[in-house]
Amino acid sequence: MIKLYHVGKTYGERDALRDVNVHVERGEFVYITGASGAGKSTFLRMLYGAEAPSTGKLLISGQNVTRLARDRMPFLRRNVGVIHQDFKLLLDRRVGDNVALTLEVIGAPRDQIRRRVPAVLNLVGLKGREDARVAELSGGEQQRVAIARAIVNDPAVLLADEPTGNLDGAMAVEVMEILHAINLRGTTVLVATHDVGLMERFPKRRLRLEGGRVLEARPRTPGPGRFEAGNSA
Amino acid sequence: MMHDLIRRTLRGLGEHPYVSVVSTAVITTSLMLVGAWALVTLQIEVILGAWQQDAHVSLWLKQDSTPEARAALVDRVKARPEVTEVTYVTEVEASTWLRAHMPELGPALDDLGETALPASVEVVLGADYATTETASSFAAELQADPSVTSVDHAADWVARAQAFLGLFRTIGIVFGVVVAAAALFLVANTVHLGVYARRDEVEIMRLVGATDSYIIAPFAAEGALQGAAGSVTAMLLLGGISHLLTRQAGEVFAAVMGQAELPFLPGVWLAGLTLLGISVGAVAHAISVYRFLGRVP
Repeated sequence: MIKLYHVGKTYGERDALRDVNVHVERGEFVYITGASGAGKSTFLRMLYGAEAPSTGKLLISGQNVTRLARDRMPFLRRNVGVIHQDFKLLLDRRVGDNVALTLEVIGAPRDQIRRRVPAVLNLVGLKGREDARVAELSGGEQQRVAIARAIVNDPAVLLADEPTGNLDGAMAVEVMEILHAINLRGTTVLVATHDVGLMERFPKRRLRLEGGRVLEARPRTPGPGRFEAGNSA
Repeated sequence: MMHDLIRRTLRGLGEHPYVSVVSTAVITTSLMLVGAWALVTLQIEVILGAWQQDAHVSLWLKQDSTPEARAALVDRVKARPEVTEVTYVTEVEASTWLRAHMPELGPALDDLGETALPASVEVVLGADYATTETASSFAAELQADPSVTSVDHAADWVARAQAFLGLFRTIGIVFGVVVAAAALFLVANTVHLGVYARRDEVEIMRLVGATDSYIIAPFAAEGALQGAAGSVTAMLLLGGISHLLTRQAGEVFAAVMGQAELPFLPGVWLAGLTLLGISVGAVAHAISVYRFLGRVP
């Protein structure tokens, strides 16, 4: 599903990522962990084409993202849902508008949008909240809206960059439960986090980044997913 | 898709009225400048047309020419096929006319005597011969007559004015291009502020897989609507100014142009200005958003 071969990313003199080799299978749930500045966000940003690797090769569903032309990038993103720590929502719009945006962009018919948006809001626990203003929602609810927007078009991959970073404990758990439910439906999920408690509560494969390298990939509690030691995972 | 585009366009206009108003004002101002140039060009053409129709030639006679020679000259001129009207004006008649029209010159004319002004033969050419070339060749031929000291005709003025009009048109085209480019630049920068205000929306659309054309389309449509509004406003303002000028200075126009009402821009010009406004609005918006998209990951 996702394959990185000797991928590196350099900003000026600084190496954000160095010689990263990672394979993630279809339907896996993987944590990308590490301290702040370890390269977690850079790793995810490369997966949805917001950053281009400086070296190496990156494949998603067999497509070489490294060589993807600008005009092909939107089609990659339609297959890769992204969730941010700061939600990235249109606060002055309704919940339904925010979620429908993903479908409008791909030219989905109106009746399909009318059916799909309530269904996915139901999935993230926001049933009947289509008409609510996003600005009026709590942080946890806003993150659910962001998740709904990311999965409404059934992407093969879901990337979440510190999705619980702005949430309190109970809300963070709820969001993680939603992400796991999405994974159980077959979506490949990668979550960047440094929340050890959540990783222990929801044990899955871990890729630990340090100084731009993948140093280990060992879940404390064995869970589904492949892992290997060293700089390859 | 069209329904979606219209909805997004109207929402953009409604959410950012300030940017819409400023963009429309810039387009209006630019089109008023271009429209004003077109109007002035049109008025000059009308004046030149009136001058050309009024193909008048004055033959100034030598003081020592005999009455017989003058009469023979008048007969010869009358016999010409291109001539429709001939009037012989004696020295006394010329002085009388000048005294009547410029009484302040009376004392000076008294000192100079009755023959202060030369006699003349005033000739009007027929409409079919009222061209610069015909008037020039007619004047040159009569200049050679022994009774004639000099010949004045409007053809020279018309030729010079036409040359000026040609230059004015060229300058106007360059001016129009410069104004359109300036409008494009100003609108693009104004819109850039609007795009920046909507950067979250643009970034999110990019994030969920919107193509550049999907993002640009409603902005370009907004620009086209603003351009159309700016064009109509500019034409209404120009029409109003033209009407005011006619009311204030109709007599002057009647004297110079032969008609008190200033002619307004013809339909093809109005259509062209509208098209220019729509194009400037749409292209400026598209350029601005495209530039912004270059900075969005």
